[in-house]
Amino acid sequence: LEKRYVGSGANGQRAQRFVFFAGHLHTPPREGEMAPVTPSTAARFAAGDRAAFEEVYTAHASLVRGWVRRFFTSAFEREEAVQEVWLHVSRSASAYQVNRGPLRPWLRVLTANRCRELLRQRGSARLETPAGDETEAWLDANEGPDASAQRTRLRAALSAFAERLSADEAEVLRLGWLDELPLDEVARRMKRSHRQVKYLRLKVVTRAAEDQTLLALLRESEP
Amino acid sequence: MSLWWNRRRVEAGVLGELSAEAEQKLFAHLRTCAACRAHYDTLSMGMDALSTSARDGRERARVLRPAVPGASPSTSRPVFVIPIAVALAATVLVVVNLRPAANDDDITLRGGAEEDGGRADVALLAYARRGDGPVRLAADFPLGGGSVARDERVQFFVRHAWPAAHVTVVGVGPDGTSRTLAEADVGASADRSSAVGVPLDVSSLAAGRWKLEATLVGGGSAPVVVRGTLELKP
Repeated sequence: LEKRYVGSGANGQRAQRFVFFAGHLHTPPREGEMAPVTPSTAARFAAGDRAAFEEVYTAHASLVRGWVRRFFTSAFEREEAVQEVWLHVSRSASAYQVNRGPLRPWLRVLTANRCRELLRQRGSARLETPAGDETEAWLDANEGPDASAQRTRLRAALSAFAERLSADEAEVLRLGWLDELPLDEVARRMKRSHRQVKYLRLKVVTRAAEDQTLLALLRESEP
Repeated sequence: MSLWWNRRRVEAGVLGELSAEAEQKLFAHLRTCAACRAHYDTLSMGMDALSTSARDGRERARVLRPAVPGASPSTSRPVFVIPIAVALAATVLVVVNLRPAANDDDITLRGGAEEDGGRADVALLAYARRGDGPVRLAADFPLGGGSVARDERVQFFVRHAWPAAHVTVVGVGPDGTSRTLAEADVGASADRSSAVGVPLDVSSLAAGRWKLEATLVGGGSAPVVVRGTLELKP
């Protein structure tokens, strides 16, 4: 986390406050994420070991999320589908055989099958998804250099968004989202009540949801 | 109208301010309410624009919840749980072996590879009650199915010997639509029976034959699935 200060001036306070937004939010996956799990972990995962399942989840959570995103447009549906997929993975762990290959393609097939089942159950119209060998390329299409460029543009848009917030809203954004402090701590530092901080958080989220630049960039990163 | 009533709850859900149980209740509502779902989706876009880490953290908690016994508060017991507990104490529950653990030679990815874990000590019980009337045992899975009327409330109980488990009861209705009927973290209890969520109002469910599937996940053991059917009378 880079907390750089950029001097003062007429708008010095504000500049001081926001410079670090540009570099922190929407970072690439953290350490431990997307790293391949060891064969011994995979074997323990197949044996139903809960700690191994956690390792597998940590390593593949962001991948699975990305795959699920290809099937569903609604945030709620995605959240539900991700949960369903991991439940399905947990149930099916014993069917995974280490000597048959790495976990990632196995998880990809499980994810794709479960998402298709969910779409079918819901009678969703969005069923035109590739089948068979094409699935792999289609699911992984959003990985690559474009994703990094999109993140950079999103960070820049976030900085501009933060500049338009009131001082209180910006402080909530900084403490709650950048520093990831719990509500209690945000309220304590801002000398505000919980209720006030909750209200400010909602205002920030609502404003972000209405910010067309942010939304356009977010949609750009969608499949 | 529904959004007018539920707006605060939806907003709290997006902001991650709800307990696990309240979040599951909200999700159950969102499945059936387009207006609330749209509001949830809109605000979620705003959240995602700011940072995805909060959403990722919530997802992690949901997925891994059963892995941390006691991390999530136990389900609050409904008013009629006490009489049910008394009824349970008087009821002899026969526990039978579930389907034995699969011993597949091949990876079967299309629905055939789900693991029941070979546990022999799990049962799903459905109790029904009309108004303030007496509580009755409507079904005892996997022993046998039963029936409930649409003006009854149904409370699921799970009987297990685990220190803690996350239980999900999913139903597939006569029209093939599936929905989560109850979900909760349950802990060990003296009589090994724990309520799964709160009593379910079944009046909004389609009448007919419902296939139920309860999944228990927890404590380093393979998940256990209990299946049965419940007739919902018109």
